Amino acid sequence: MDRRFFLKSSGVALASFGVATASPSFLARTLAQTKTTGRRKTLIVIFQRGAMDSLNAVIPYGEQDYYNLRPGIAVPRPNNDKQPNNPAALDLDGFFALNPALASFKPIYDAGQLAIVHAVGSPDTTRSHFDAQDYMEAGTPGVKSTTDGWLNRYLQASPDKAASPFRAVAMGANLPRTLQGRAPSLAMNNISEFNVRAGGGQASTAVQGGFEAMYEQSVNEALRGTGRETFDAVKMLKRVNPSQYQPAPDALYPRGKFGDSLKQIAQLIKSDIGLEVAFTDIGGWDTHANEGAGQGQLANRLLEFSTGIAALHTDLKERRDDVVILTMTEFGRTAKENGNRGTDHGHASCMFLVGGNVNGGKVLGKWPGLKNSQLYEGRDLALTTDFRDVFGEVATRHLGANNLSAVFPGYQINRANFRGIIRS
Amino acid sequence: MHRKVHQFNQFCALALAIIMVISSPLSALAQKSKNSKPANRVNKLTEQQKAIHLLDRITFGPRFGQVEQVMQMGWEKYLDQQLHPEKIADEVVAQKLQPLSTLTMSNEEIAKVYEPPLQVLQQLRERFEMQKKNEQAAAGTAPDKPEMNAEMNAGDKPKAQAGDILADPEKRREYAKALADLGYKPRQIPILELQQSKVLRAVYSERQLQEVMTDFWFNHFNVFANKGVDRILLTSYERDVIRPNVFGKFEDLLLATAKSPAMLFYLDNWLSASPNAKMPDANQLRQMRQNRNPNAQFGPGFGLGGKNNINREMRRQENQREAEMRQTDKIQPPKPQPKRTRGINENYAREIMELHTLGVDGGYTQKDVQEVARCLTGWTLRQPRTGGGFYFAPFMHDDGEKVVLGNKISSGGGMKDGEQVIKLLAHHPATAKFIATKLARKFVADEPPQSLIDNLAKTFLKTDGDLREVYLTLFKAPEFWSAESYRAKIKTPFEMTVSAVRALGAETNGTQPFHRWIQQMGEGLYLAQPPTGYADKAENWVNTGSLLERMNFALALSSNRINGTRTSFAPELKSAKPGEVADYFIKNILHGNISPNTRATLDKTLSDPNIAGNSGADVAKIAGLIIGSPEFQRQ
Repeated sequence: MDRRFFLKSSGVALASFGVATASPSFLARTLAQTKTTGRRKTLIVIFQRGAMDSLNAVIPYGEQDYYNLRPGIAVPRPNNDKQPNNPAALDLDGFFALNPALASFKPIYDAGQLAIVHAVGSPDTTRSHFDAQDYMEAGTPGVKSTTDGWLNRYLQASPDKAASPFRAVAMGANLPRTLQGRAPSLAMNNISEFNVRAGGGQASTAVQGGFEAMYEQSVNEALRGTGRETFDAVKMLKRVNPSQYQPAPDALYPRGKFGDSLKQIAQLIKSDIGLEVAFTDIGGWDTHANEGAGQGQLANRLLEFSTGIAALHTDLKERRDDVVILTMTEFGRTAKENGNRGTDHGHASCMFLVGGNVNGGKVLGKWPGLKNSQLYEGRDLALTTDFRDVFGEVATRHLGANNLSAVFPGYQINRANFRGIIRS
Repeated sequence: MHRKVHQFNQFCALALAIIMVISSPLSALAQKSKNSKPANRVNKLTEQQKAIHLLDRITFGPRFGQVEQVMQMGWEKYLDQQLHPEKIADEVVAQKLQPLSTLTMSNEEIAKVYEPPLQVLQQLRERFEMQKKNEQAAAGTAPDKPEMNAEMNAGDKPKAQAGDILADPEKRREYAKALADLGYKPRQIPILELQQSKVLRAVYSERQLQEVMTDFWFNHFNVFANKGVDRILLTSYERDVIRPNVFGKFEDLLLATAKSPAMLFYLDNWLSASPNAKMPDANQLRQMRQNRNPNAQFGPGFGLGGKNNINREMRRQENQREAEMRQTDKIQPPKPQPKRTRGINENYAREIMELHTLGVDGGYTQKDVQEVARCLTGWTLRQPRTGGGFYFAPFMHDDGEKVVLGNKISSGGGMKDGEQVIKLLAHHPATAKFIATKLARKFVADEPPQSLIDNLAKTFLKTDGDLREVYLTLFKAPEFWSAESYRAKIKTPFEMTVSAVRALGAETNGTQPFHRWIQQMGEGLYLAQPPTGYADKAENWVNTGSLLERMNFALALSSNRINGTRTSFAPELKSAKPGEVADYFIKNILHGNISPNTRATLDKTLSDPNIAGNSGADVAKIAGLIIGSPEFQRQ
């Protein structure tokens, strides 16, 4: 009964009441109306699309090779203030340092609530953005036939009979690959505009009812299933009204789509609407030319990225123990800068994890080194942690998943590979 | 005026339609009890379905009354016309496009008006900064500190532009005004006009297939409008590179994109240079002089010959590139830059194989990417900010021997290296298969039949990549005309919004209030950031957020809540009963394609006093319900 993706025969699909009434979403709707959802563990996933240059974000300043490989774009060593227009990195542990544009991460790191996993990524060798994002979101590197995403499979594998329509939400016009699949997931641009707008009042209610009934009857399974999820969510949103939860005064979200998305995720969490998995993304990381160092193109992206996450962390002060923020990007970039003071597509990158139960204040994972012999294919940061082990640890220790074999088919999640990201 | 007469005829047919509708739920129930197959199962398309199907696929949706027209003339004839757009008169759209002045301008002309030189921007900025300093001195406040230091607290406001004079909206307005006083117009206008023109063409052009194909191929060779100076390069890209080639040879289209400033800039190839780039020798010097475009703007002294001048030219270009790259993100005050090294940029080399020709499974390796990148070194641009065009720079080219997909490319080929690569890729069997698959997916079904892909690929290879021949194979294929592909595609947001305007016979000027709806559903025109362009499968467009926007767009359109877009309904409808109004739209917009159950559901809604109304039905809401219905999302 995979209703979203069995579109091959969509034109002539069954129009049967039987199929409609047996849907899990239908059950969810009836239950969600009677049960209060309450506080729960939430995972917020942020995808940095375009491949973030991890070596200029979390700088291995302890390696001379970093400076040899990147004469034009290296971030100066911590406390090196000699270059007026090239701010120095912020020391983390005597070996790694943060890009100064990530300054708002520093206090969270120092408070032990932000961890970094370096040299992490997908073991697949592709350097195509499209393929690598696809693999990372599907959770099956090298396998293209996977029809659903790993976050969706997590939802499938941990069925929740009382799940709210807001169990999984992506901020944006479209549902990302990682949330596509059988388990109901929402995509929304803006929570305050998520309703049928027919001029207000009784007429709007009537029109909404009309649309709902028509979509319930559609012979196209995708339209029918999505229609049902849509109207379940519209009704619940109206009841709960998350917009009443305004950001904490000291939570200053950056202007723009990214900051707005994070702000709304916080509102959904605070309204106890049953949010378990939230997703948003931020683009602009494909820095092939004029990448910059502590200032410039990459730094501008890092600034928006980190101030947004820091604001969210501040905003959720009371609920930090319930929330983990996890970031990912499809691959890293070449260790050596290219001819245009940028970097090309590489291999391993890094991930940031933020939350009250994150075992923070550490850069986790094995560091492979930047010597020519240590680089992957002689050019990229080598991979020492499979991204699925990071997801696996968060799903197990934070969300309480106990069966991950269906979430990452073909991959044995082994607790021995967990990096100790979540406090146990 | 044609339409009005037609509408009246349609209205006369209402009585018949009502009878049909009354009887249909019963017959559907009877069928349902007999077997589990859906009531609308068809094995062979009727003549009406054929007309609907063709219009659904090769146009932006049937116009009000157009299905009947095509049935009358025969679909073969309509298809034949559409395959030869040069023979179709297109005055209405020409007239509507006429006021959009940037559409006919060259890159250089657009640059002159919409892209102030960096020096001008710099001087202006300095003037503003000086003013502010003086103001601050007068007021006794401290000047802004440099932003971003380690003490920055979590949750602090981002200060990326805190030190930037233009962070202040008031100053930004003054800055814009100062630029206007100098004769420069807002730099976003070319893109706004282009977006507007795309909507207008889709709604009004008679050359519908040409516009559908232009959309398809632009998306295939996608360039993002917001990557720096591409904002002024897309007008010519669509007009001169894409549209004239969509009925031609694939190789010509590929080569045209490879040499287009828009693509060279978007995928960075204009920056790609051999790591061993050396000073040009006498030969190259001669070549450069020959290739030089006399209209391009050069610094004084260039073109007089001599190595010193060439060195100066190289330095000047280097500086220019620096400046361009700073512009890629946003205008920032220039910073001292360490000396640049030259080198290869693989970006375009990878995408030309992965996305434009062979496909990601086309059998190329990382080594091939590097070799293709070497072949394309020196394919660069003269001053893109001033709208300068493509040229081959021998001194940037890696002239060594290369091996691409097992084919040796001898050393010393110069610009021919890249041309050889393009020829090789354009005629590769993997390319034929990749293009065939994309076309079949776009025009037949999300998961197209393999037999069709094979046939299209065969035509592609047999005809030397003649796209018109490939389309002909496609539109005559039994798979195209099969019952399975009838209404099997979900409209993309652009297709949905434009087809609604056409179906209602509404009028639009295509400006931003209309475009914003398309953007809101996730398909902003010219705004696909990744080189993949937008996806062409239902799963990418059918989701909660965008479904709701479709319904809301339908209501906004039918109730005239979109500025610049106007829907007027046949006056007879005002006095009609809700059921009659629904019948009218079901016949003329959905062409009867509605399941009995949906129809029954709709009737229940129509009986609601808020829609039935006291003094006649709420025509706009009923039209909105039809346009926003699941049936209208399919094609």
